[in-house]
Amino acid sequence: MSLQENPFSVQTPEDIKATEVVDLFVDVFGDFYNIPNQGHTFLHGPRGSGKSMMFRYLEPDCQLLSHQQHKLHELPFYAVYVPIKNTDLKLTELERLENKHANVVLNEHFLTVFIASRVFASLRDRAGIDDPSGDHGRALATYLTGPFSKLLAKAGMPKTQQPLPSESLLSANVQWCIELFDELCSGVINYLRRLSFRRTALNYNGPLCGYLDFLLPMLKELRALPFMPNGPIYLLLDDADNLNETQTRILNSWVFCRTSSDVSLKISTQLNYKTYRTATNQRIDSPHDYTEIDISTVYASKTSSYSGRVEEIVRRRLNRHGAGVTPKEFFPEYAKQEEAIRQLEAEHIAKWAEEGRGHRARDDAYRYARPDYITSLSGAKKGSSKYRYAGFEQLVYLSSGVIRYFLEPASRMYAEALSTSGGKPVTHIDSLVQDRIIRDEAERFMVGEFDKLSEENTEPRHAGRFLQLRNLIHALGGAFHQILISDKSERRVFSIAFSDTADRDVLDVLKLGVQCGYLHEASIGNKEGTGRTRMFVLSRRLAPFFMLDPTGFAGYKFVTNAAVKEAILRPKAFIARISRGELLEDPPQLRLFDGSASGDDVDYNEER
Amino acid sequence: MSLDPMRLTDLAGAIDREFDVFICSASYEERCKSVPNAIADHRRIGKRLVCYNHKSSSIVTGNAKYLLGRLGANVNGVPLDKVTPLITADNLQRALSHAGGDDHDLSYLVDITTFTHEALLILLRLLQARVKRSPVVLAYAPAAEYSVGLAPEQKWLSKGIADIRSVLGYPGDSRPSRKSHLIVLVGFEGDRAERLIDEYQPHVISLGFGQAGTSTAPQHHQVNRLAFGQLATKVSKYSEFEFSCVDSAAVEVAIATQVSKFPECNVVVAPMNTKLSTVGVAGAAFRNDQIQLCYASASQYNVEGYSRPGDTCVLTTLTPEYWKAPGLSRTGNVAKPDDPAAPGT
Repeated sequence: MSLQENPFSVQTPEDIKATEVVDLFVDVFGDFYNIPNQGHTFLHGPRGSGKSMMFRYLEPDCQLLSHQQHKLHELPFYAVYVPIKNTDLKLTELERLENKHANVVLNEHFLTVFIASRVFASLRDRAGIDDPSGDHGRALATYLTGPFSKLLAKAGMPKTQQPLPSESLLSANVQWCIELFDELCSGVINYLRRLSFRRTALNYNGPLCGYLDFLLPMLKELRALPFMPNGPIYLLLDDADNLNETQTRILNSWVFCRTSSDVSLKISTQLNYKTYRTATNQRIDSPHDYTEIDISTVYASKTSSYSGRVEEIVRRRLNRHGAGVTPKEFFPEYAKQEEAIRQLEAEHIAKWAEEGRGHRARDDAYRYARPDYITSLSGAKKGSSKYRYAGFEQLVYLSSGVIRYFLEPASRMYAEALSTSGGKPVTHIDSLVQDRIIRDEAERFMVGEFDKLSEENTEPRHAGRFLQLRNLIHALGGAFHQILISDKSERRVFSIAFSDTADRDVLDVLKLGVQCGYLHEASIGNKEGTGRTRMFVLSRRLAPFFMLDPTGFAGYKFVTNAAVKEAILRPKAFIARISRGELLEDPPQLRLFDGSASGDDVDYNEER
Repeated sequence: MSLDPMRLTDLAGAIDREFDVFICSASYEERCKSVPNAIADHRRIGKRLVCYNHKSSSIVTGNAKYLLGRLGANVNGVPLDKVTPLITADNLQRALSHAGGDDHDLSYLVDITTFTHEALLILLRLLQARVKRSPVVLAYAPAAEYSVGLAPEQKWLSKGIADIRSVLGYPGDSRPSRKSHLIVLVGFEGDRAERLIDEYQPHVISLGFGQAGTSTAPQHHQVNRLAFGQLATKVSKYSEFEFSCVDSAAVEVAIATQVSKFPECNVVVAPMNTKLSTVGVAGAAFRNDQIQLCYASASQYNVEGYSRPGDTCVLTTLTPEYWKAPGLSRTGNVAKPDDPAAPGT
């Protein structure tokens, strides 16, 4: 890689070559074990959280490389990547069919042939099937002229329209299938084109392919071909939020079929999936019909695992770049600041025997030194901004469980460092540059992004919700800052959990916060210890905006529904009451956590 | 008729023939009145259609009322819907049928100044099915200033994207096995273009920039250049091309050239520059069915200060060649009037 190239640039995984993917990809399937395993799975996460990269890695070319295998049939599964771009399938013309019987049938056919084309395109582009003897080509030709041909006929495709391949060369037959399904897709679009301006019905005379009667049997037969793996075929549908509602319901109907031993559906969303109802209005449920993973929630509660993943990702990128340094060396801390914090830690350890609050001296040092340092910078001179958000570990915490939020600012930092390096290789990013860019990102997220969201949702009902969300985030950020600079025993707080039941209005605002990335949702043991309650975690990306300490594990506070309502409606009054020690309640067993905290600790004391 | 601007006061005199139908669109911009005011007393114009977004602000409704009054007795309002393009299409279609366009080869004068890009594209598709030999003349009244009173770097026309959708009548011919190519004709709104690119995540990005000397006014070129520059810094790899902001035929060539550079891609074009360039984009799509057009509807418009009317106007005639769709029969794939006798699915 050229030194001029930015090692942190974010590329669309679809375009990355297998060798590069395998080189860059850090195996996260320990955290998301359902993804490579058989079964239908929904994978939720904001843009940039690594969903597409996971899918790309599952494709056969990457799997062959990473397993160091040469034979496709030795793989445990065959994964087909199916990106759903915005207007590929969600054509405006389809609205003409709404509330008509043809709606479901034609949408299902459209979705089916779209996926079928991708299946054969995958065999062409990603499978790398070696066929020197021509056996595989003949096997495919036999399949195409036999069972496949019957399926097509059953779907209503006239024989004259399906001239079968005249040769048994594997690549020619695969290409024949691609063109066939591309043509079928084109047939739907042409029908829709004619429907564009009609208010009356229009006959559709083309074939109709569905999941159970076409795609599933086709894939089952395909699986049985000698060059294919014995395991299931995975259909990796990326960004399924881009399907229209009818297509979404159809896909849910496929999930409902529980055919995962032959075909497992892996569906990614950007937290905006339209419905979990099927075409016949039945509800699909987890875990009966599918498993579900929310990347942000997993990483919000598994900070240590996330940190390791990011370190490995950055290490690989730096290695490819030839930087010859570790992530921590490349993103150094602000030495003067860290030295001052270490002195404060030493002071806490020294006075622990007489004044200590924690179980161990080092607990107090860890818990109070950095908040004390931040507090020491605030005050009359308004010097809190002197605190530098720098150093690899802080940057990882500040990315709040989404790799894109590490890589994008890192990319900006690199570009700036390169522009001032005088043509020399960039070996590290100055802490001042890190701090400036990370603060800028936080401000953009809190101010610019909020402005955009408000601008994009101008209908009174939505606009009101965004205003309430903005209030809530300001209230929580402000309150957590007040706690940080207070003399409370637990000062590093990022979360609230409900001590009673949240009402619908409050939940709507909180859910909107989750959808827009300002909050993560989790659950935690309730105050009484009799069950679990909802917990909402403020995104650490906002730490610089509210002058919070993003590092380490953070505590939570119990709140009532009424208190959150006050935060939503009167954020300043809420913060003032927090300053007076009102509204927030400590968890029942307040203990400090360290990296080896047990699961029980997580449940009852703190989110990580 | 030429692309050289003429004074609005000379417009009526420059229209040297009869038109069966005049079509315009009310908006919150004052300049929606410029062309209608200039030709209102022209006696050789038959029916007049005033389009308006029926769920818009009171300013739009007020301007629609003004235009309906100003254009005399033979006038009809055509309610459009900025959220549901099917309503827009159906109402436009009804109005054109009512004007006699289904049965006769009518001539049209269309003031494209303040249509939304989407409504304009739908109207052009509907006209394509109706126009035979008679001419269609487009009138466009450039603004003297956009985003009135703000410095170039602060100018804005709209903010946010409420929805991204394919334009009705331009579904393209997407082949799932192919890569995607997004062509953006960048206008003033770099932010919206960036958001569009982020949503599509295409394999190939083409960013089109208005040629110097083709802007409807020189000061607009500077703002366009600024928006393009800002966008270009945020997009890592793209193919740059230039297009005329006023000559639809030249735009069509520019689009066709850009499409041909990446022949194995599905093509989506987002026209975000002038209405005259959007007419050229429609022409490119008429000639190439594989081009899908998309529209990113804005969440918020600069209603208060979108533009200040100018005192000039551009006229352009769409020749019969413009409407041609090679390979498609007029009664086949292009939009055609409803056939009530067609059996249901």
